[in-house]
Formats: sequence, C-alpha cells, structure tokens
Amino acid sequence: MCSLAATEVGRAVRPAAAVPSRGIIVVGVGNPILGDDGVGWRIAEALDHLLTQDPALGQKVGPVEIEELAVGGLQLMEHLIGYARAILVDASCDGRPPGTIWSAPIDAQTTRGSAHLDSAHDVSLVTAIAAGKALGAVLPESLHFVGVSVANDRVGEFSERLSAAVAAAVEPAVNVVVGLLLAAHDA
Amino acid sequence: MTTRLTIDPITRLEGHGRIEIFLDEQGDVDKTYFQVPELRGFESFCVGRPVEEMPALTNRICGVCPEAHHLAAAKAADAVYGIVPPRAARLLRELMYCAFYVTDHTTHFYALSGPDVILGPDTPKAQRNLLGVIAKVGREAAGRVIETRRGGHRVVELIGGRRVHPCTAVPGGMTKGITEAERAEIEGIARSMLDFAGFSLDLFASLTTEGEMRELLLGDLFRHETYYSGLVDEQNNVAFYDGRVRVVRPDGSELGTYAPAEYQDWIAEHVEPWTYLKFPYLRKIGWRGFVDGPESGVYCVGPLGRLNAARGMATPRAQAEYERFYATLAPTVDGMRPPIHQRGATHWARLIEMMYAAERMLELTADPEITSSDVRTVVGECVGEGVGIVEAPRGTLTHHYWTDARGLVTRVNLIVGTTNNHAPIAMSIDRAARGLIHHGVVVDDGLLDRIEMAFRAYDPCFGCATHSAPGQMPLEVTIRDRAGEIVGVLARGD
Repeated sequence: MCSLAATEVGRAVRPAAAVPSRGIIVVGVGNPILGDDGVGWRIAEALDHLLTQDPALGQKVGPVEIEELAVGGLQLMEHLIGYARAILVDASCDGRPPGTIWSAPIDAQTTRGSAHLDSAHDVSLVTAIAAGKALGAVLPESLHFVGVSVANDRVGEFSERLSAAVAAAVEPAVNVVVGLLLAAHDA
Repeated sequence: MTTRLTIDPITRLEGHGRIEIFLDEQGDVDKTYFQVPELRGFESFCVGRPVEEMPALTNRICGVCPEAHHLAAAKAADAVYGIVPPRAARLLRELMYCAFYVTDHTTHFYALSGPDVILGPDTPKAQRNLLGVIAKVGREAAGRVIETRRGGHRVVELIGGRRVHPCTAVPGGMTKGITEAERAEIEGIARSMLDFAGFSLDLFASLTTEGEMRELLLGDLFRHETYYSGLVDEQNNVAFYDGRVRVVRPDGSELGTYAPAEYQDWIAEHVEPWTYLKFPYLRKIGWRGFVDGPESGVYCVGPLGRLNAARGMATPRAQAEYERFYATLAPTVDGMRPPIHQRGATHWARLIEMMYAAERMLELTADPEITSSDVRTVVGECVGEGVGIVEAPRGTLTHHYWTDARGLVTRVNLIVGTTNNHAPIAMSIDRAARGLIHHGVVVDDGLLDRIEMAFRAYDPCFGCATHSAPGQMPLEVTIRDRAGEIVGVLARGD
C-alpha cells in the first residue's frame, strides 16, 4: 500500500539553488486523498520529475518553483506573494468529459469550475488577490489556470488513485504547463 | 400548491450544501431541509494502515482545519498505545493549536462573516465582500488580518513542521521540540495576536451597539434553547486541546461530564431519510425531533456552545470579556448564569475565544518546559482501541480508532465538529425562513442573505461551499411547483 506519509512531499522546489528570485510558480492544488480531486498534485509532481530528468528542457523553461497545496482563497493567495507569474493546476467540475484539459487566464469566471481556487473556507482567489493587492502585497500580474475536468461523482470518495480518464490527462496537462512556461520565458 | 425554493451553492470544494424550503398554499414556510453531501469511503481508506499514519492522513480530510484532525488523531493514537506524551509535547501541541485558533477565528470573523457582521446584509451586493470589509475597517486594520494569519501560519510551521498540514504530532508526543529563538519568535507573534483580538472585540462592540445589526446578531431571530457541550479543564474553564466534555442543560445547570473514551455513552446519532449526514443527540435525553427545550436531546457546540458549557475562561482578559458577554446577554438570576441562546452571539463568543487563545499562547511560551527536548515517549504495547477529542473551532472533534495487536487500523469512527451542530443548524435555517417568508414575500438577495446568516454563524464545515463568504458564493434559487416544474429562478453570482 502506498501511504500518504511516505509519499507526501508538501513543497517541491526545482531547482531551489538555481532560483535567484521569485519569478514564476506552478501550484498543483487539490486533495491527494480524494481521488480525481488530486490531479493537480499529480501534474505538479510529474512536471517536477520531467524538468529534473530533462535538464535541457529545464534550461529552456528557466527557473520555476513547483508546489503542491491543498488550500484555496486567502491561503493560496498568500503563497503567491512575491511571484511575477503563477500557473495554477486544479481539478475542474465543469460538465466536460472527464480528462478534458483546458487552459485560461484566471478571472472570476475561470474559478467557478475550479475545485479549489475558491476556498470553501474563505473567499474566492480573485477576491483574495484583489484584497492582497489593496493591502500592498506584491502578487502575480499574470495568473493562468490549467484545469482537468473531472466527474462530480469521482471527487467525494477517498482514494489515492485517479480514474483512468483523468490519469491519462496528466502527461498532456504537463505539456500544456510546459508550453505556458516556455511562452513566459520567451515573453 | 406547494412551492419549493432551493438555495443551491453552485461551487464545490469537497462538496456543497443545499437548502430547500417548501412553501404551503398560503406562501408560508411548510418545511425546510438542509442537505449536505457525504464524503465516502474514509473508513475503508484507513483500514489496514499503521495507526501512526493517522495524524498525517486525517489532516487531509478537509483543508479547513487540518490542525484539529492532526491532534485529535495523535491523541487517539496515543490512547491506542496507552501512553501519555511528555508534558513538553502536550504544551507544544496546545501552543500550535492556539495559534491555529487565532488564525481560524480571524479568518472567519473578517473574511467570512465580515460581510454579515461588519457590513450588514443590506449593503449593496457589489460591496458585500472582503474588499468592502477592507474599505470599512481601513487598510491598516485589514493589514493586521493578513499579518495575524501570517503569524499563525508561522507558528504552525515552527511547531508542526509545515505551514499547511502539520506533521510533527505522533503517537507518544512530537517528533521535535522548539529552540529558544523559536520560542521568542512565537511569543512576539502571540503578543501581536492578543492586541489584535482586543481590537476585534472593540470593533464588534462598536458595530452592535444599536440598530438592525444588534437585532440580527443578538436578537431572538436565531434563538434556540438547547443543551450545550464543550471541553473544559479541571476548573470548568473552556479548553481547546484537552479535558473532559461538559454538557449543560438549557437552563445552564450541569447534566454531566464525560471523558473521551466515554463518548458513546453520551452521544447517539439520529438518521433522516433526506440527508446522508447524521444528527447527533444526547443519548441520555433522547431524540425528539428538530425541537429545542429540556426534553430534546439536541445540543450545540462551537464557540457559543463552549462558552455556555463552561463556567469561564482560564486567562484574565478573556475572562473579563466573558463576564461582559454574559452580563450583557444573560445576566445571572438567583446565582445561576443562564446560557446565551441567541445564535448570532456566536460571533462575539468567537472573538472571546480568539483572545483566550492568544493569552494562552503567552502562558505557554512562558512555561520553562516549552523548549524541553523531552517531547516523546517511546510507544510500547498496543492496547488496540483509543479515542482522541479536541475542540475544533467548529465544535467537538472525536476520533475513535480500533487496531489489531500490531497497531494496524481495523475500524474508524469520526464525529466532526460541524456534525454535532447539524440539528441546530437545520433548526436555525427553519427559524430564519419562518421569520422571513410570509405570504409569498418576494424573495430577493437580502432575504437569502439573512437565511444564509443563520448557518454561517455556526461556521459550518462540511468541506463545502456553504462556507463561502456572502457575495462570493454563487447562489441559485429554484422555485418549483408541486410537480417539480420550475416556475422561477433567482440566481446570484459573484
């Protein structure tokens, strides 16, 4: 059995020593023990693995920090302070076929489908970002969302496994994130 | 014709709640249902795992209060091995937990209930959000909300090993202690938190001196004369981390106290066909339905339940606030201090707890043993069963584990904080609906806000969108006739 205690990484930074400033961050959000709800974590882990295993690609995308978090709203905003750009990866309950990958700049409409950006315990990420800026925090000017559609009935059951359709979307979603990183690097 | 109103939060985190209101032919409320989703399969997910994994595993159940699950699980695992952690470990756990309390209560008061309490339900929708709260209280005060949260996260990181989802509480104690420098840093954070708690209590007082807000928060609209329950210390003061659970009657007299391992003698669970979530009630009193009074076993937990179930607060400034609270809303009669039954007063109780938590942090950081390296007792023979109880911000949290001789989990039972309040929440929503809907009154956002306020005061955590702040939670009200046909839709987006 794969235990959470043994596999949890909490925060992954790649490569920590090579990140001179808080430039760009990729956050996989979700709950890793609630089945497909954890797909954001899996994508972040796979991205970290890919960039570590492929130094040439890592060189192309430039410095990037990668985190896995199970928070939303204010707490997620607080994790983004100091970064110029952020890419958030999350499960999305949007009615699309499970495994569908979609990508969009973050606004109030984007976060509607996201499972975690609008924390149930505080406020929406969009409001949290606006509040943080109103209070003088330095927050990303560029916020992008990569969602993987999941079925509603798959996210209420405790499991460390993804469904087949969602698991198949992990690698393509990583490629979408890499594309965004390359575009950001070239911008 | 029966008309059904559905207040349906569209967003989902780990699920969402739904309120359904059935109107009778006169347009008055017939029945009200509050439904929440169920997270499935947790027990089977746990079975077969070493019990020492439970503190790290259960703090993932929900992202809202991982510290509470982490510590309840650690205490249950302590009991499974029949051991009591060293005093320093217990102090560290409580210190981390108090910091979490300040953070959680701050977030609820300003970000979640702020639009209710600080702005009021009649504030224009466009302003009824956190930005509106910032505009009302000022940038400096709002900045202290963020600063207080940052301080709380820092304490959890120093003691719990991580800012999110602590991992240092294990069977027998803690995996690490803290240094003198870390202690000093935590002390500084606690002083700042205490000052902010005083500011917040003054702010609340200024908002509720008169007018509609006073009536909404402290009036009888959301009044229920139920039993109350919460952890207390040996002097019957409010306790968050450890103690016995004290239960008081609706008149404030003590029904009794119980140790964690005795919870099944006290708490039973009623099942209704229209919801997955059970309704706990006092076994000694019995289930009489969704009614209050001494004959009904419905009880209330959380900030108001804890203060009502206790006889005071263990720290001086919180005790002074406690006395002001009861002198204002429930003066002593013939030597008996009755409970406060108005659920809107929960907001006030929450701030008193915030002050207590900050004061208690200062006490704990001043304890000579807080930097001791003696933080773990080596576990011995497995007893095979253990119960751990802490007070989560939303109410009494019970973890009960059974294991085999090797310490592998064979069975799990959890009663989470909000579940205890399930019946009172349903009653408050029903009361609010009956008080606010008469003869087909036009349903508008203000009305829905008041109904939402009925349950938001409890700070419910079903891992669901019922937790979202007003103005942030997209709502859709569907009005149906008896045949289920939609006759009208009222939507509220963010």
